[in-house]
Amino acid sequence: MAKKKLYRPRRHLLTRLLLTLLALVILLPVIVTALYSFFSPEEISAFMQTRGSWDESAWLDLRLAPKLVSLGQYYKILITDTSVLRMFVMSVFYTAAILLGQAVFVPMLAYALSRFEFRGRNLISAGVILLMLLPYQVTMVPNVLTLRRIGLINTVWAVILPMWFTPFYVFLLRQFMASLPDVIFEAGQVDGAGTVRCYFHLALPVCRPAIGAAIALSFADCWNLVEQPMTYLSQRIDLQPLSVMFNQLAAECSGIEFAGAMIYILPALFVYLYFLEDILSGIQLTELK
Amino acid sequence: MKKLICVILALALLCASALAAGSFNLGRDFEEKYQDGVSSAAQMGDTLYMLGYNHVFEWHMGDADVTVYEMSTAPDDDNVYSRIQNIFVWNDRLCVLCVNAFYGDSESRIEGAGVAELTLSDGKAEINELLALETDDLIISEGGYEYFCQINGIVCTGDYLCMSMYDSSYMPAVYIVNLGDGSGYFAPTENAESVVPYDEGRILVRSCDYDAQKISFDIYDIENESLTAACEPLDMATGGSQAGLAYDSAADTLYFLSEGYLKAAEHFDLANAKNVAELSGEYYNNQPGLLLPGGYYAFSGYDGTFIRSTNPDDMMENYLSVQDYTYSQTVNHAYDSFNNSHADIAAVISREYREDAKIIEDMMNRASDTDIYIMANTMQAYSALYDRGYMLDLSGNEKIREFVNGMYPALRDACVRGDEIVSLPVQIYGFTLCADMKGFEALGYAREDIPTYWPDFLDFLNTIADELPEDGSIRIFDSYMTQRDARWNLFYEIMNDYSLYLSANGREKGYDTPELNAALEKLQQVDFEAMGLREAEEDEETEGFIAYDVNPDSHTLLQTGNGCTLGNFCYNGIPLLLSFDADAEGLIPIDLYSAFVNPFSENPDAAMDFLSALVENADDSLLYNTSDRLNDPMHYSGFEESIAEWEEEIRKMRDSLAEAEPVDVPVLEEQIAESERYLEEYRNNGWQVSPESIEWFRAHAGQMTVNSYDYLNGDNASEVYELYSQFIEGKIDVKTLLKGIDQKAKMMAMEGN
Amino acid sequence: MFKRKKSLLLFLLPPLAGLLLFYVVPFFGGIYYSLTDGSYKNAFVGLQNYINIWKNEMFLLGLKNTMQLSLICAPLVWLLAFVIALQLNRLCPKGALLRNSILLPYLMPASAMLLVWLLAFDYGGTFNHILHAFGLERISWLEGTALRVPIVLLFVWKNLGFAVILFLSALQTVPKPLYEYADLEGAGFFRQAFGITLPLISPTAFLVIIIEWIGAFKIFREVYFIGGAYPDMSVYTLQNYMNNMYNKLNYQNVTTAAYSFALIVFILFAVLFGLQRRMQNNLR
Repeated sequence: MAKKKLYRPRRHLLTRLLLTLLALVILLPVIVTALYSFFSPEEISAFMQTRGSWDESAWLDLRLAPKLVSLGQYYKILITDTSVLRMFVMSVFYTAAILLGQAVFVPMLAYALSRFEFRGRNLISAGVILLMLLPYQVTMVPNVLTLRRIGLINTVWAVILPMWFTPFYVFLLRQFMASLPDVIFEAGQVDGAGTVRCYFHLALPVCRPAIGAAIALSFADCWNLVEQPMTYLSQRIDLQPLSVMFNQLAAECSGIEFAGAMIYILPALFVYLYFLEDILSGIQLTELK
Repeated sequence: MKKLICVILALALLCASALAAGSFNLGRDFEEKYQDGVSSAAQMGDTLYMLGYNHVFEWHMGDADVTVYEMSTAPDDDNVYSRIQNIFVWNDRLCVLCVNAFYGDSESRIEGAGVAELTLSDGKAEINELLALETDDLIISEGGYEYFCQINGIVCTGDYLCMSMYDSSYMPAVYIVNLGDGSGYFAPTENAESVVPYDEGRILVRSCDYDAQKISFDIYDIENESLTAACEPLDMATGGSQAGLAYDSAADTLYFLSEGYLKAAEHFDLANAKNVAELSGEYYNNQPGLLLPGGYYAFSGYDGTFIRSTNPDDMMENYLSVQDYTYSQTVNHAYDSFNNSHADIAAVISREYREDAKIIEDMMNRASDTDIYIMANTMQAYSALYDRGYMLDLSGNEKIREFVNGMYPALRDACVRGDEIVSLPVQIYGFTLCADMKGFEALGYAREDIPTYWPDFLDFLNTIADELPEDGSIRIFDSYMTQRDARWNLFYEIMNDYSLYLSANGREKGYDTPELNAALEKLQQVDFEAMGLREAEEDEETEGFIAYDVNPDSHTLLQTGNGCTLGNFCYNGIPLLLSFDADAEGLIPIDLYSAFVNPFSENPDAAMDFLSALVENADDSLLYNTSDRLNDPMHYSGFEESIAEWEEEIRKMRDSLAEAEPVDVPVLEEQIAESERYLEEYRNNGWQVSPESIEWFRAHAGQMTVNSYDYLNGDNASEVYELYSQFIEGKIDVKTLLKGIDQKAKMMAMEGN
Repeated sequence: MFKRKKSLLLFLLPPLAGLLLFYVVPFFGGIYYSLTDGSYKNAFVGLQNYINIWKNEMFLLGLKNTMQLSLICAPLVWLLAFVIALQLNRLCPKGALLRNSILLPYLMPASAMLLVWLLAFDYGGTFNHILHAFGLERISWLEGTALRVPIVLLFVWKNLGFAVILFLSALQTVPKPLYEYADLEGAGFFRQAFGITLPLISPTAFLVIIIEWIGAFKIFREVYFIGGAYPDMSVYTLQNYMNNMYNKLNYQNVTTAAYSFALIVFILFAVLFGLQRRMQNNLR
């Protein structure tokens, strides 16, 4: 596509300025977190103690530089406390296992619901939407009972298996596949491709942007798992992922939260930037409409 | 005849199975029989030696009972006492650590300490000092007082003695003594809680770092003074606890006690330790365990010595798991009698702390790991489980039914849900504000003159503050209290009473009520300075110890948080039972610990048996306080003996009076008169449960109200405490305090259960 | 459209089995659960739980607050994301850095964020500093109704990036010539955005509002961190109610509340679906 200058440069500049400002405001807490991760745990705890003063004349003076640049928080998390590393491995394991399973099952169901004609199709589609909207608590207790009955409670599968069939992603992909023009599949059939070949050689490649978006969303879900491990793995603390640790700390500051946040966010960020390009520079959907 | 044979056969079978199971408990009756308990133990060959306060107990493997040796604890001529502690074996000689101390009226001195050999013969234990220790590092000095550091456990390896102890700044440490010359030094360990032998010349040290929340195991080489880690440090939250350590170097296996079991970990793989035997003592001290020949393990705790086979094949197929938070004798005795009468299942008592949320989650998961819970009725988990009916119906058991139905209505109601009995009290006590009536009478007030309505009572305090005698013989609060202490204590009494008032009248009422407002406003007006209380604790250092006032004519009018149940009833006083209702007396606060059965338990019948064993072994406190079935006053244990000893003493004094020089006679007569006065005093007041307290308790039993879980003692306790402190410090007023508590407490009540 | 039965079953059955086992069965199991008394015996009590819950003031308060908060949060995120995505789309591809930076908050764990928020909204904190600089009175953000402000801001801050990215991916499908044409016609920014762009990407716009709305229903962790199990009345959400009931072992009330809520959500979304259908049909 030929690049054309569509807008006047000055308007461009203003937009750019405003967006940069916005991005900065949004980034500020992240920057503060990064900055505070280099304070020593003692200094950060002491600083947090100064909160909650109702003195009209006093202000909380935000520290912009540590008294001494310290890797104390990182040391505490990575060296002293080996459990963080273990939890990190568990997080990676859950994320990988869930995404792999989803990659198998979710597009299959979406394909069946969007490209096949059969009785009950609309019913199942409606059911998927219904399940997607359910709050987690609806199925929490019965789920525990089901998992217990099939012997999966307190095993990693209790967290992994249900996530393979998350209705939301089925809905997401089904919507996308349904919006694909029939022509391409008809063309495939004319070429002699069966449903299976159509799936692998047409549906999946064409859906790449949607699948990419689903993976990106699902990755965040997996990386941030909190409720499921806490309820399904309540007796197996050794199987808990990192997210449980960093999302359930109390308001009391133990001095390592900031470094913890940085360690938590970096791998996720890395994966993200990688996939984002995939989503956004994906196939131009315009060609398909 | 047939029956008899059956019984004998059954008994024989029982004994056989008990032996086969390789478990044996010793000394459960030492307290009762000898008024003594085992503080440490040592092993030589197949003989186990247990050291008590003034006894040594000897047990040969296979024997049914112990041989007892008495040990003298009398001071020598210079009034120096030898305290015998920590038995150990050195070069095949039975040794003890012996600390010589002098106790005077206003000073105490450590005269020295040493290793002494213990010779046992003719029912007597003799002590001969072998070696004096350098004690400079082991003595704590405070003012005129010297103490010997607390030694938790002693290990002797080669010619070294390794002690785990608290050093002079009360920090855990390991001290190594060279038995060649008595010199010693601190090993370079941090937070060491216990030591056990590792192999020749090396010891294993277990340390707990509470800052990093880590438990570590290190091996210390004494010759080379080097410390190496035995394994990766464990997480405190998940690593469990390890007591009674014993290390078998031949098999590279670490034995330890945790959650009611003896566990074995090979190659220090503690995460995968296996249960090898049930062992449910009170093993929260840092004593090491001992390995006996033939694959046996022994542990001596406060409540006896337990010998277990370390062969997992000797384990039973089935265990009844009891989660206990009480440490009560009732539970210990029930455990003994249950395990003695069941051949196919054994009770296991775990006393590790578990969070409420964990218990609630276990219930949701329908977990059957724990069969019986024994916990405080004020715990959130208890209240949730009770409200939701997650307690097995116990009504089917006649003993339990009879016991519970015989209790006072308020207590019975706490155990009954609908028409089912769901829990059984195991421990009961209550604390409240008590008054020394003799003191009040000396001021000219009778019981009827003391208001029972909180606001009136607080006004009344201001009145009597002005009427106290100048000489300070009568005071309102103990003299060691500061004004702030007194305010805190009274405030707590008010809040506790109010919580009780709410449980009787419905929590929906909340805390921002005229009743509580009135009481707290009055508390603000109480003049603690006029009571002669110190302002702050600044001058505490210089003041040193506050001598306890033994003058019988001196009185402290009010004692906060004093006992109001039989067995720990406030001494020479009565509970005031203040109320929030101008016309009525207040309530008796009752704290209950109750046992109940997990409805998902896989051993419900055995669990019921255990509960009826609890009923059969109910201690005196339960019998006195839950109903009026026990009404006889009771003296302190050993009352008769003490009286006899005292009389003997006085008789001796009289004898010496006859032979005394005339100049000494008045002094001696004075002494005899004083002794007789004290004897008389003891005769009158030596009550564990006095007739007066029984009378009072029976008359007020209808006012008993059981404390239960509420907003103030739940997850929000720290938030509430924050408000409390601000109020006591005068930073916020009554309105702000009560608003802060009220809204949330009301929300909690309105949610329902 | 394919009609072959055999291959349909190949695609349909395995995922459907999982869906049935882990979602449908528990869903109906949950309905049964909400009709029992919740003790370990699970006696059947009919609709009693529903009646109790709808009479419970705290449930109603939680429901009201959840609805209100989600009605503030979801449209706010949706609108902001749409506008930002439009702007970013113009800068494309140079906006990548900006785009990535607003996504960062989505990945932040709650513990550290809470601490930063507590600092910013402290009585002597940044926000009050700013108010003070403008000569305004300080506000105690962490108490009373004012607590809603930090909570809504936290939600917006955390979720904005994701919505922007969803919009961006959809905006790429809009043919550029359309804008040129609109520009020539002299259509203003807002007419372009809402008159031309929005209808074109209405499935995505709809998706975003669903995601954000569901997300807003789940606002809880933030409230719980700041206010505990019993926060101020104005931010006590349904999630608080359910969490507290869970801690009281009252699972049937948790489930009953969840179903009651789900029912409301279904109705709301049915209406939204209808609207979106009509919008799309009008377009065709």
